[in-house]
This record gives sequence, C-alpha cells and structure tokens, in this order.
Amino acid sequence: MGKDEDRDDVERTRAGDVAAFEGIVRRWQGPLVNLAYRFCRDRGRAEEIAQEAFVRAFRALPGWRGEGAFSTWLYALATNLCRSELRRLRPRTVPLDEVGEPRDPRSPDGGLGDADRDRAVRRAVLSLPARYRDALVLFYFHGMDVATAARSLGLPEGTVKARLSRGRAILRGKLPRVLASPRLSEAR
Amino acid sequence: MRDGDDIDRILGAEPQIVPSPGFTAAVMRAVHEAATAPPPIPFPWRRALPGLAAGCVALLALLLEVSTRGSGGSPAQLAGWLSALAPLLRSGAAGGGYWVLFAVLTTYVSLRVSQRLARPTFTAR
Repeated sequence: MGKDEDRDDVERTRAGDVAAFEGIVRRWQGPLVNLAYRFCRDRGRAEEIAQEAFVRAFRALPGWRGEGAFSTWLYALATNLCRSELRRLRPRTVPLDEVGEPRDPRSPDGGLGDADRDRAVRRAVLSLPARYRDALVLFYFHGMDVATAARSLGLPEGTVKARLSRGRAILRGKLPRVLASPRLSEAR
Repeated sequence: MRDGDDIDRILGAEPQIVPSPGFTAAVMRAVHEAATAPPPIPFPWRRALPGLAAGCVALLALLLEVSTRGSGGSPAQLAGWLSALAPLLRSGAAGGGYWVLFAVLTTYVSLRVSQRLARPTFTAR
C-alpha cells in the first residue's frame, strides 16, 4: 500500500486537515477489520475495535516519529488494542478444554468436514494462552512473515518463533485427529 | 516448519472480510468528534504532590519508628505490643458504631478533598 500516500496524509492531518485522515482510513480499513476479526471472530466487534484503533491512531498521530513504516506503527497500535479488548471482554473466548474435535474429520460429503475442521482449529487458536494466540494470529495475518509479526507484537523474532512453535504444539496436542486428517495429506 | 504444515494450510487461507459500506463514514464521524473534543483532563499533580509527599514522609517516619524500636526488641517485646493492641481491637468490635462513624467521616473527607482538587481544573477549561 502507498507509503508516500500515508506520509502525505499523516502530514496533512498533523497540519490540521482532519479530512485527510479519511485516506488513511480507506487504505487501512480492510486490514484492520480483518486483524481484529482474527482476534475476536465477531464481525461487529471487529469493526468496533478497528474504529477505535483509527480514533486512537488519530489522537496519537502527533507522537508518531515517522522512523518506520506507518503501517508498522498502525498495526502495533491495533494489535495492542485487540489484545486489551480480548482481556477486557474475556467471557466470549472459549476455554481450550471446551474446544472439541469434530467426531470424524473425514466427512463423507467432502465439504462440511473441511469447514468443521477449519472452524475447530480457529477456535482452538483463540483459546490458547495469550502469548501463543497473539503470535499465531499475527504470523498468519501477515502472510506467515515472522519479522512483521514480531514488529506488530514489539517482540524479538526469536521469541515469536519460539511462541509459534509452542502454540502449534499445543494445537496439535488438542486437535490430534483434525490435524492428522488424511485429506490434508492427500491434498499436498 | 514441517510441524506447522496442516496449521499453515488452515490458518494461512483465511477468507478476508470486507468492512460494512458505512464503516469509513462512521470512523470519520468518530475522528471528527475526537478532533473537536477537549483534551483529556490531566491529573492535578501540582496539587496532589504535597499530600502525597506528606503521606510518604509519614509512612517513612512510621517505618523508622518501628525499625528503631524493633531493632533492640525481641519476640517477647513484639508479643507485648500485640497484646497492647488487643484491647483496642476488642473495644472496637464491641462498639462497632464508632468504626462505622469513622468510615463515614473518612469517606466524607476524601470526597470533599477530591472535589476541592478537581473543581478548579474543570472551571479553568
């Protein structure tokens, strides 16, 4: 996405042109809503969180030093908000023990099984301890880019790699049948 | 990352959701509200600092007093202090009304002090 456009809009907004912020919102609304959705799995709440992230970004804009990419700063701000919202609204998350596997991940109809499996895995990610959940969510959100995920989380890459590995191990332990589904092996 | 292959396939291929049609407008409304809203009221540190400093000094004095008395003391001395406190606590339990009155007075005083601290900040804006 346009880095120059971001910087231009940031400068205009800082100079007092509030309407210039709309360019930032239009460019980043999709990524931010999707990021929030991956943390809460609720479309309405994802939009609320994304909106709050934009408002906070607007308020914090004078403090942005412009050293890195605007997107890095915006993602870090949105990620912190998502994490704090999840802590605040904990009741909607599902404990890991309550995440059940589908009875038979190899569904005979060839369609529902995949959807069930995917849903089970995504629910299981949200029920992981926060440190592993955040690493997994950010890693896949950023197209499996550890460096970008680490920047969004404000952590060293090594720490994120370790958390990814541990998070995957927990997932595998919780959903052994789902993640060993023969269909996945056949599809490779 | 061999062990992540299945998970990569599932979590890496998430469908993207599209924000609602009115999302941008809603965000910009909220941004305009934020732009026109007065800045948040700062905590009145200048007014609170003397009280906080006095509290710290009192606490420090109390700790010093306890440590100087305790340095030459013994378990028996400590037991003596506790036994001296016991009648006070017993009388408090018997006359619970005094404690209630004390709590109400403390609440009232705290309320008045906080109102007194906050009022000039509000009128200044």
